[in-house]
Amino acid sequence: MRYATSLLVFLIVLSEAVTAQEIDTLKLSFRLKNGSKDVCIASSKDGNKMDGNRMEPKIEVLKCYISKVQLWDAEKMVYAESNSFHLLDAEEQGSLAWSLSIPAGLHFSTIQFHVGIDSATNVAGAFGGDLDPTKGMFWTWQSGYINFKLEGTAMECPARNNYFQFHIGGYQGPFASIQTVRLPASKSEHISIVLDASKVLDQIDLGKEYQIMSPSERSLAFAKLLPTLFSSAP
Amino acid sequence: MSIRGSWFFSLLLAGVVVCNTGFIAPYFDFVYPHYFPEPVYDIDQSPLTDEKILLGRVLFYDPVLSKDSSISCASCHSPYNAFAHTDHDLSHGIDDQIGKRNAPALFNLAWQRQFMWDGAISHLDFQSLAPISDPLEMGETISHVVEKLNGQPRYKQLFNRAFGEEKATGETVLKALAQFQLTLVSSGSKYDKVRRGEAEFTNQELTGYRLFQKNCNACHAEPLFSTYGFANNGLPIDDSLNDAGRKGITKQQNDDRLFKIPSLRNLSYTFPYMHDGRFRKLREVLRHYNEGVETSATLSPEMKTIEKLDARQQVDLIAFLLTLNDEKFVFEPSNKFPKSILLPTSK
Repeated sequence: MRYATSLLVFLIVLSEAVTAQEIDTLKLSFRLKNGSKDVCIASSKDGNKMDGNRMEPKIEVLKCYISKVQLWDAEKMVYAESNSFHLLDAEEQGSLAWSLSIPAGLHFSTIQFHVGIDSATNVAGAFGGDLDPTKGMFWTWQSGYINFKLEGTAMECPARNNYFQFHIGGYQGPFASIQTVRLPASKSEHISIVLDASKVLDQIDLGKEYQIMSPSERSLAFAKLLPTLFSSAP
Repeated sequence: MSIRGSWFFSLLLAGVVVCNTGFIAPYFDFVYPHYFPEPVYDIDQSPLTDEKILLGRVLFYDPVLSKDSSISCASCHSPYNAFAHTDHDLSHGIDDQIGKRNAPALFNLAWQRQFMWDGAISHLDFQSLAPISDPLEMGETISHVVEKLNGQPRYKQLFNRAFGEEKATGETVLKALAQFQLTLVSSGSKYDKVRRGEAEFTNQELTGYRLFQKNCNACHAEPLFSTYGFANNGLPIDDSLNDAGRKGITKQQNDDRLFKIPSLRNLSYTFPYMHDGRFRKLREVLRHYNEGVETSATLSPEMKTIEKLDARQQVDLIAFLLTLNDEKFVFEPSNKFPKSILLPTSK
């Protein structure tokens, strides 16, 4: 018993020595935009009334998984966030920013992350937090995370209530849709990234493509456009 | 730090370590025969505890999981039927709606990687999401289930004991259900007793066993009696259902009409047979393999080497298949409806 307690004391002292290394806090934040405007989800839906002046699509739902956040210095990875799974949700302001604890004075030139959840995590069982299936981002009838969810209305969309729905996922075989994004980043206190949904909506004809609800060639084609949504904020 | 402070701190740390490793709460011993392969479910990642299993069992039998509280998991997965739905080719869910496939028996799930007849589900934890959310089955959402459970006092205590948290989450509901289902291990049949040297096959059963090994083992491999892979066994399409099997999930043409190979254990309790319950009797199944197989581009290669069996051989084969019934499993009290919790005031 005395040996065990001494061992514990030793471990505490040791852990204090280890954590004495300096840590900096790096804030990572995302701004969700639709063209020049910030995405603003109205708390009550306006039904299918279209503002006569509004020619561009209106976004009702925007949710996106960001995972495996890493910092790179040229060709070398210098930091990897642990338990790196975050759900950006336009309806939850608190979901759009978090802190990374990085070694003090770390030099990096690039930030890298995945849009979506990797295949190993898709088959590893139920998880909580941002990966909890109650977040509405996990398919029930077929397993797999929805990597990116975009819904809204557009005048040219022929669906019921002009409502388009893109649920982009799939981790298996030819339709594996996770994407990697690399952006220049060097500020040591705050990395700010813009996610501009209009970049993908501009590349799609909403009159023809407005409903993707399962892994397929079309969902894969859509997924390949996702890295173009992201850019470093000035 | 003073000496006294560090003693106190180290005892505190010891206490924290002891509690977090579950040293106080006993782990459930997951046992299986030595001739079974290693489970594929990562039990080390989610160790089984009595409290989680009990919670999962209560959830399994509680119709609150369905939209109108009329259908529980046990409605289509009955313990007396080895957790299948005897006498129903297709099961029925809320509002008496008829579903699209036959409810598979639930046992030996720790050895299965993919679930449902088309392998739609990638992990046991996620399987219950499918019937919970299917409008023909339970018609609910996992979010609403969590809300309902958090409004019931009985579940506060059950979740607290199981997960150290009174409030249920999507993750803990699914994990608890998975834990209970993992305990459904069927390894007590006459075949198992023979494997353990505790019994002997009759001559007829032995003859049937040899026929099985020659013709059926490639897909229904012992000792689990399935490889749990996917195969097309030549069932003609039922055009009232037009079920393309695995192709519906992968969208690949070479998965057309492939279905998950079920285990041949507990056949007496789990009729009717096949993904749409089209065969009520085992002799109908054998007649299919003898003369009913439909060739197609995706017919599994193993089907081409099956020999035709005469009447005597078929009887012998069935005699062997009956040795795979596990009566102990279907009568096991710890798998049954938890009356003391779900109906505490009834006698």
